[in-house]
Amino acid sequence: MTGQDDFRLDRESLSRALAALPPMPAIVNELLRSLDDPETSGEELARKIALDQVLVARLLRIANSSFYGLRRKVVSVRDAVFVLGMGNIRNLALAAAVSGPVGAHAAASGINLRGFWRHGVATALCAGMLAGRMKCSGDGAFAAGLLHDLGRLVVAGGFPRHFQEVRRVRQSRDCLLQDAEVEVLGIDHSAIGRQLAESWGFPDALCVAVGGHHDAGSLLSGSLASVVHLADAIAHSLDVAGDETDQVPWIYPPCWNEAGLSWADSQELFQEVEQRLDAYCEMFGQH
Amino acid sequence: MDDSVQELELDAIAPGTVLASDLLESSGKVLVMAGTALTAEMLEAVRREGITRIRVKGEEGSGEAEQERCESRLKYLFRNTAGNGPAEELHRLLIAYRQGGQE
Repeated sequence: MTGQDDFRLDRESLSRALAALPPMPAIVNELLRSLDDPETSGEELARKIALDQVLVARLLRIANSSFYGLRRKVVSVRDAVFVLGMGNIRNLALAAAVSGPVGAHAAASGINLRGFWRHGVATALCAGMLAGRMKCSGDGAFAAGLLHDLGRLVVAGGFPRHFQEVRRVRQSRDCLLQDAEVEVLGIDHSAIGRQLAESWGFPDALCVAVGGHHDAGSLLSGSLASVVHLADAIAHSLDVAGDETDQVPWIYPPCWNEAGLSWADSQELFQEVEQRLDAYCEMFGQH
Repeated sequence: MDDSVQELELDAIAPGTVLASDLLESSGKVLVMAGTALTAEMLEAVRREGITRIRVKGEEGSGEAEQERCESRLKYLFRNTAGNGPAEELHRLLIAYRQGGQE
């Protein structure tokens, strides 16, 4: 059975792959920290964002895009913060920082990046809407939803042969991705994503949500992980990724009960996600 | 918004169907504008871009077959959740949603 064992990922080769990824721009961590810090003012963040020229150009382009339909041109970061809102600025900065370098790194493996981000954005939108019902911060939930499958990009980019083998096993067994990963790699994308999130110094709750969204032990009441767990399942059920063999994962009953979605709530949630998805994907540059 | 918009597999779309949202190339440039009646050439160009599903304006008439397709797709997506109460509930809510929100 040496063939099987060839694909095991040990901690060391994983750490090497993570170290080979581009570092997270400092501003992203500042923005993430500001999620937990009510003292940070928009003014202060605008000043910090202004130091990152790539981000500034991107934010101004978005603030002036048809999505917002403004008549007056937005020319300063302060105006952009006002137009887009702090929540969106954070999410955009995150999406830009992760999708660029890490996405480019993974593209060669043949992963469907467009589908990957559509699923991420749908999960983020669901998470943002479920958060209030599940006693969690909406902004944090959006960011966690967007990044929950980060580990998949690490496998695709750092270990393309392993990635193909996981894909093969998943298809032949018709099982969930994480089950195929555990069988082939000995570790799944959520644990790998958590390592990356930790190495980038992301806030703890976000690291736990990335690492625990499939793990019943992490799905505590009011946790970001439980919001992402349910949002991920709903996003799969809305079938947005264009993955023919997609499937809805098992849902942990306490999470479902905590959200307490009525029939009407659910219909509104599905509709909101579908209506906003294309615009958000466009806004984040992930069509 | 517009009730008659639906998202379909590219393969299921016949020339002449009207596009409901802008289609974008990977570079971000607009490939085909919303409101355009798609020609066979356009559909081919869209396929070359690697796009597999698009949003189109649908006639109300094509209901039954479309409904059946939606339900069998949902059944497939939920194929491995037997015995999981919340997933079964979510499945029911989505069938209702795809039927246009009838309780």
